[in-house]
Amino acid sequence: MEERSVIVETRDLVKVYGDGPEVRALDGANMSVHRGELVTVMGPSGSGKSTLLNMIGALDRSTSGRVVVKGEDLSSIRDLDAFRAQEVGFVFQLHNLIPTLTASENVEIPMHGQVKQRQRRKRTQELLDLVGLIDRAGHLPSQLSGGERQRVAVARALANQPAILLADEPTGSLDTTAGREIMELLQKVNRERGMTIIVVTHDRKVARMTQRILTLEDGRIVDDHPVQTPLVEDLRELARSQLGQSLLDRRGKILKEVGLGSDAGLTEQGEYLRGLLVGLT
Amino acid sequence: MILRNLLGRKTRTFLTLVGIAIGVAAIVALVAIADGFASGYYGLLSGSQADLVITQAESFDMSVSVIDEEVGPQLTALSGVEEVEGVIIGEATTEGIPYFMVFGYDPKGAGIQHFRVVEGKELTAKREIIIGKLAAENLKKGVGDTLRLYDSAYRIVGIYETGAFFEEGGGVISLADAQAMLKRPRQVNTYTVKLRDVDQAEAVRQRIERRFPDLLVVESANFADQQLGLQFVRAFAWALSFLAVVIGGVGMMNTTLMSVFERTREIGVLRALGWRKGRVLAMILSESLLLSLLGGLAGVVLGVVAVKALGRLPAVSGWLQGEFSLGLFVQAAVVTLALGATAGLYPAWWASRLHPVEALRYEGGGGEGVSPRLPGGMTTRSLFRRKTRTLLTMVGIGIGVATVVALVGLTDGFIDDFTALATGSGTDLMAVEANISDMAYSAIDEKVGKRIAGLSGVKSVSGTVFSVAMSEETPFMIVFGYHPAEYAIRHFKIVEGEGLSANRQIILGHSAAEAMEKQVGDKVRIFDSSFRIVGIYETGASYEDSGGVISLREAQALFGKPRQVGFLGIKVEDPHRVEGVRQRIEEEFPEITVSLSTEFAERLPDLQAMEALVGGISFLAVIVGGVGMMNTMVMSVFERTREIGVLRALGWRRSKVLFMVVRESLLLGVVSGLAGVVMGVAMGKALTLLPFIGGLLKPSFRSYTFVQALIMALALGMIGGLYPAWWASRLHPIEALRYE
Ligand SMILES: Nc1ncnc2c1ncn2[C@@H]1O[C@H](COP(=O)(O)OP(=O)(O)O)[C@@H](O)[C@H]1O
Ligand SMILES: [Mg+2]
Repeated sequence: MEERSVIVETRDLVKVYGDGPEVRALDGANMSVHRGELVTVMGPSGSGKSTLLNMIGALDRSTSGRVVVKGEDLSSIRDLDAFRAQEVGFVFQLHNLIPTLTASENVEIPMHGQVKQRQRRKRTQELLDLVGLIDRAGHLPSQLSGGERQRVAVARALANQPAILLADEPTGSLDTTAGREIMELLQKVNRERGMTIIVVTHDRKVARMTQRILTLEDGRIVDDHPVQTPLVEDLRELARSQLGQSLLDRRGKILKEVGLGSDAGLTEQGEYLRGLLVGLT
Repeated sequence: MILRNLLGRKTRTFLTLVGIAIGVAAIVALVAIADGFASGYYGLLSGSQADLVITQAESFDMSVSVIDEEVGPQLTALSGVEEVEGVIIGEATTEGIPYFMVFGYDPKGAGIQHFRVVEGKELTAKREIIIGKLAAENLKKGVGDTLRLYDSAYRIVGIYETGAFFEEGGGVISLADAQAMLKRPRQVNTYTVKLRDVDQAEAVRQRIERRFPDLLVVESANFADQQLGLQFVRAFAWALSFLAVVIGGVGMMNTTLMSVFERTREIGVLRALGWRKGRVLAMILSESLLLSLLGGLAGVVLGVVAVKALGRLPAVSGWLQGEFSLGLFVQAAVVTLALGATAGLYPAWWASRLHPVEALRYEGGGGEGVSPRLPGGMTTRSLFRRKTRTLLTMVGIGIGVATVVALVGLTDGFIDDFTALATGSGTDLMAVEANISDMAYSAIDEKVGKRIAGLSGVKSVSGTVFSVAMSEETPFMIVFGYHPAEYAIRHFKIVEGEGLSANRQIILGHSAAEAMEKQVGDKVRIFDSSFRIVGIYETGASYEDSGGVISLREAQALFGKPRQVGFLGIKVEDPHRVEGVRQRIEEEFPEITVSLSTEFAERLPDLQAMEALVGGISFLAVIVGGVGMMNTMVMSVFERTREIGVLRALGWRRSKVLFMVVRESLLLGVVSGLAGVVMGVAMGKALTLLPFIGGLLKPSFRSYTFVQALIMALALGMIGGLYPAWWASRLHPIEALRYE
């Protein structure tokens, strides 16, 4: 793979919440994302995914550690509002459009104070065209389907041509088909515009539609690997599951039982499992 | 559960409580003050051990009642009467106290005995005064000091107690001094009568009234209730309280409704779990009742504190003292519960009618019914999102603004009317007695008029008296006394019949004639004298057109102002030098105030008092309205917490969020204000349709009134919007996004 420049980097990132019982939402998270990459952050609920995304998106300041976006340390930026408006595009779970504004007005929100009126119109048209909703421009969110709403949110995130697009569970409240369509849209945006995209999800199917998967557990990145062929990903998934773990634990016993200890009398079944177990390791 | 529901939205609950509390506090305070007035009056005469109290029939208030002293001996001569004593009750301006009550008693009479002197000695001579304990405190004066009443100095010889605060806040001088000071020679305000046999009270009462048809005889225990002025004060207190309660109630309904809307799903769950409709209804209603009860309680405390605090002001403590009776608290409780019930009923009904399945599917947040075609973008649409709430807020604020608009319109109407009255006859200057609290008290010696006429630069002077006549035939009518031959009477343009030429004649304004259904040739009774209508006139000033004119001499006799006039109209030789003449007259006659006739109305103490009153009402309306407005905006911002989080995440600055909320609030204020202006104008016009009184009301709406109303509405928007806007702008984006 060709070497590309790093656009997002976190170093020993720590975020502690709360005045009462402290919650270490992030506990020394290290990661980096290259320009033009489409990556996933996965992890169980409460592992700190949203927190990580919010730190990268300059929604909050870290307790310690560094976040560097486009070569700039976020802690040295004073006007985070302007930074968000210009460099970051956000897509959240459902219900993140302003219900009183039409699709095109929603897309225009980040452009207030950033882009001239006349250009706004043009760009909004362009973006709605990109997400395939040009004929829905005048509709209110309540008149759109869940998938359509998220498309508007993607268009809105791209409004100011940001450096990075951050999506926190963008498919969280959608059915499988709609979720798949949103991911395809993100892929397209990544491909055609070279947009760097970080998606947070706990859905493996969604994660596999990206290029790299970072796994977060208890506020730390515990795994980081490129997405491979579906078979390899399936095996990887199996290995991480309880069943996979127990299969691996009893590896010797299983091999013996199916007669792999000795080479004699290898069945078709046995061949299959051997391949499986090799793959698992 | 009920309590927890209320606590769930602390700010909203708190604001609602404040709104109700202010409404109830207004009732408690105003009614207590009115009751205090009543008992003050009552205390005045019951202390003197009188059995009957006699005042002039048809007089608006004891202080304007006039009875000739000749009546005294005749009363004494009646059988069953043991003792009769004339008393003067009036007000004087003194150091720092605009309404200092002055009582004139015969130092050797029985009535003065109930002023128990606790320091110094009793009243014995002229130019002496004894003052009440409260007055001594307020004036910071003691025995041996001097007290100026109008232009005369009195030596304080004693301090007294009576238990009646009207008396303890004022002072007693000799009857003769009082008559001179208040320009009531050989007259008293009231006679108190002691009977030989109290059981004969009713018989004696009837005997006196038969003998003197122009006198009103009341048993002293019922005296206060018979005072028209007092009934006015009471009616006003209730009207004002009603206003505060309505505005508070609208706010209350708003809160309950919102709390029901946002719990639609919860209600669905409860219904799904088997709760009956009635139970849901009872739950919402109990919440509303609990809320109003708490607000009512706070209101009672607030009201009592307000009255106590007011009573401490030296300027008013002589006559403003609340009286808190059990009945008042019961009234407050009833109003409170009624408020809770009415405000809760509709939301409770709405909630109980919810279909469980639909309630469970409810998504909330609104926005569904908003048309993208609405002009004004986000700001208008946000208001349309919660139509009921916006409407209720508009109603609440609209009522407040409307009241102010109507009252200002009426006041301006009065001013226009008086200006027309003053300028109508071509008069350049108008003079009234200086330092009076009410035009009705103005009394200028006719000699002053003669002397002014002799000044250089003065062309002519014409004097007028007027008084309000009240009877069954004419519930409220102003009767003017003009000299039939002087120039001023000419502006009563006769449209039917002829002008005044002899005694016992009256000319009537066309509105008065219409209201009384009288024609030329008919007779009317005024102050128990019969007058023949010789003409009908029209001047354009509604005061005059709903009144009547009799000859000056007769009016002076009838109103108890012999050789005195209420106003002087002055014509000057050279209109360009009018200001110089005005100053010269004021320098030479310090006892009168002279105004240009065009400015006369605005400088009248009555209208200034009325303006102060309107100011007070506006203030109350602004406070209660502002609280309601804030409540609405707080709700509207709370429910959009997540949206605000999104906006902030997308790079909107705090200031932008702040302006967004303030804009909404201002828009709501302005729209409510406009609705209020329309309602106010309608209200003002509707009042003119009232019989008799309506004829006197001629609201005049000036552009600045509308500007004022709009400024008031904007102020409401600002008051209501600032805190929610600040709250919204300070929201941390992450927390806002996590908000459920
Ligand atoms: N604003 C906050 N205040 C307090 N605790 C928080 C806040 N945001 C997140 N947390 C806590 O931090 C941990 C990580 O949260 P989050 O990043 O939202 O997890 P994820 O998105 O992976 O589900 C959780 O335990 C959560 O309760
Ligand atoms: Mg999350």
